[in-house]
Amino acid sequence: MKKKLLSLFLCITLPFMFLTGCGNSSDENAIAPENTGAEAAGGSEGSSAVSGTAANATVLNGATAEDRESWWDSFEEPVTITTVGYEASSAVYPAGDGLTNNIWIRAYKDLFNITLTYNWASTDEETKETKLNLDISGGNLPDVFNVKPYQLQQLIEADLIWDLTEIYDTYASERTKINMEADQESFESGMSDGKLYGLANLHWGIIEQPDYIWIRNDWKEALALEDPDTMDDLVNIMLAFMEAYGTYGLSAEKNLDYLNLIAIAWQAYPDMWITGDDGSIVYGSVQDEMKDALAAWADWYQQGIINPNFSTATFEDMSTDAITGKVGVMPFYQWWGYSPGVDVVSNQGVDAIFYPYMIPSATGGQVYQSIFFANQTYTVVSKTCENPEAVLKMINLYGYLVDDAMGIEDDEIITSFTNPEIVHVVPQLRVLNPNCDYDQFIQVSNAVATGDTSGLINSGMWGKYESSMEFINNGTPAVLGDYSQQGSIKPAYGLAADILDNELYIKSRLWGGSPEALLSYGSTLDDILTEGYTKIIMGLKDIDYFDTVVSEWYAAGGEKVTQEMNEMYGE
Amino acid sequence: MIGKKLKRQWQLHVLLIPGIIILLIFSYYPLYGLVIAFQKYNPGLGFNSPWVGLDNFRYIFSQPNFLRTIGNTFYIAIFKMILGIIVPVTFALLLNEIKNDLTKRVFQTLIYIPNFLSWVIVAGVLMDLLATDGIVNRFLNVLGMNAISFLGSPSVFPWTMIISDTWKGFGFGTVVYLAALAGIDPGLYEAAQVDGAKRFKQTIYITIPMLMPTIILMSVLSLGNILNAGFDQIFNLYSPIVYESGDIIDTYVYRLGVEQAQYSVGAAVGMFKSVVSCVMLSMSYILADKVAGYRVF
Repeated sequence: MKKKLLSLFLCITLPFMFLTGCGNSSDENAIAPENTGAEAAGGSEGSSAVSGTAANATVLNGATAEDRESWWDSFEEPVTITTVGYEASSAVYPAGDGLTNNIWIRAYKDLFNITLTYNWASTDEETKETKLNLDISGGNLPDVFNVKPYQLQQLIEADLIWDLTEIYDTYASERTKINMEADQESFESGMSDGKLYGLANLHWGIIEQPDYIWIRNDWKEALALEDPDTMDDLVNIMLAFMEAYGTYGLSAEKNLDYLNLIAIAWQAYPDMWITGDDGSIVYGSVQDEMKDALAAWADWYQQGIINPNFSTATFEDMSTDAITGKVGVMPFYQWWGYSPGVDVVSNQGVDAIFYPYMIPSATGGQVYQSIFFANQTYTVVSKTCENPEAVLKMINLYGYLVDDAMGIEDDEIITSFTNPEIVHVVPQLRVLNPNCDYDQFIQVSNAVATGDTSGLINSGMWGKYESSMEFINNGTPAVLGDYSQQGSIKPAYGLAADILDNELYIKSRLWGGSPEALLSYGSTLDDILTEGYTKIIMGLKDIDYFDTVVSEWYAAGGEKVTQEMNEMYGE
Repeated sequence: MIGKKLKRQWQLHVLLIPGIIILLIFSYYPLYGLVIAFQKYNPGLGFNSPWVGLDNFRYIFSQPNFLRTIGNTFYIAIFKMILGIIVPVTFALLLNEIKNDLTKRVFQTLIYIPNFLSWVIVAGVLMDLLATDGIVNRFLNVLGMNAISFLGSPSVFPWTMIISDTWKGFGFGTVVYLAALAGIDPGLYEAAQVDGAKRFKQTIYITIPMLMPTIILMSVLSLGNILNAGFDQIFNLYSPIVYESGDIIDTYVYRLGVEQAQYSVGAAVGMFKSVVSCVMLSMSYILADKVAGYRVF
């Protein structure tokens, strides 16, 4: 009897074990549409104060102004739009909010009667791309989503997305059109056969592209080191750091992406298509100048300047080293201050801030920065969506709040939409203003230097200004990003503005979509180079191995890719 | 004849049905997808993508990097298999000698636990332990040896994979062999003792021959897996520096097929793997039959 009871009990409970595997993973589930009106805030978590809009529906003056543009009109019937996205770990939401329920989502609902739901959201770009590829091949398209150029091509060929030409003409706001016109080439790259299929998301401006060498300031001052004018100066700084602080000199990681940033000091342009000596288009990574850069790096590795573990280090490892004070020099982009900057300063103190410097020349020749075609993503609307104009309404709202709302709406309201912790990551349907950052920098740096804030005409500028002041006055780590980009005594954008104004840059010849061969096996070709170059740097092979790697690259398809590039973009 | 057997055994056949259905749905039905290998697959067009015949195969076999992944895969997989027999058998024999039941079970459990850990976790731990300034290398330094780059040196990397995988998985084999050992007739041992055989001789002349069927079964089962070589493990632990010896077929195809969305090429390689596995499996089955007289079925 006992045994029978026991077996019966087990039979019933065992299946539940299998159910423990179900349930939410880190992916967000789509939530049911919220009520409009008074209960909007907080969703299922009950009441919560959301900065700015409190517990009321989103109310914007712009939506009810007499002279408003027609796209402000709300849908009469509720419209549900599905999408997929990317959940940045750096996003900070007010209590109760999350990716699927926040001020933007509520605004879409309150202003346009659009309920935006996420089929899934992944926490890193690579996974998102892979998942989206699987969705595309599984026929599981969300209504609206962002894609990379190669995915756009696939979707156009398979005829799965709307032709947006007319919809764009009718529903895009003035602001959106102005932005697109500021980078006409990017806008047109979303077209095929004269029809618009992908809305280019654009970018914040070429000013965000140049790269720098970031040097830890307290160590530099303590050792009374001068700013580096030549590569030799930089090497001396690194050696001095190594000796004084027992660290290694320069951080790098296994894909060589960061180390490659300083290759321009040798007039080498890895990962970029450039004009060769004979006028044709060639790949920067396999040119002779790269050999010089590699020889220098191999030398550095022998001296212990480069992290001995770099061949297995990931980007996180690299950041961790800076955060724990194991390295004082990092080649990086303009956004160092956001990450790992915040953590470095939180851990090591405000004085441990790294400042950016122009990458110094190693050959005595002028150093040119690499500028790539800036538009990397397009917003597309799948044919399953019945209301493609909804996308443009959401895109227009972003443009309005970021660039035009100042003076029309309450400052508090604008900030609740556009504060840095949310605005970069939450609204994923948008067309950025390509002049944004350049204008911002001019006004913000001026305001910080002179105290005259009359030039700050949009919320973005005010935000960066206030962050910079916050850091200057209180040393709050969280706002380091804006400060080191624009408001500091050595702002990254300051250097970038110089570079742009003096045209000290080379534009990639790949200016738009990629040729097919590059799409097919571009990354395997890059793998060949990464592997070979790593061995050269580590001293496992000598510098002449470079020629072997290059011929391997050509044989494995590099020849074909170069040829197709010339066909597509040649003179 | 069959009718009679069926009548007696119909419950057993019914029990088999769910398994067969799953097999049909997940293993046989998707075989149609192999056409992708012969097309230039566009996910939007699905199976109606343009037909390119053997182009994908021609392309992938002209890549020197792909050809070396085949070598790496065989190297790593064969040694994993060999160690995957020697280590569990040894442990099973040793465990069998333990008279105290509790101790035996405790060891069994301890050995078996790593098998359940995901490679993502184990890889995280290993990367820390095996770093050039990690615990293992510090220990080697104390002994006066230079630090070895377990994960960053192309010559050492395959063995790091082989040994860590053996450590993680031998529990499973041990348990199987222990069970087999328990099934050996004690009468044989007594007869051997009477004939004057000591423990060691007993092991060689009784235990191992009696274990042979199990060993062969386990080998044949793992031979079908020979081209897998452990994607999970290698993917979590490799870097470009060790591609030359650590890049296996699956990781190469992953980079090409999933990261770059080159589904056709990925499918082509997958098909190639299956064909080779099929051949290896058939060969091993025939070999086991002719050479050792053991049949699995």
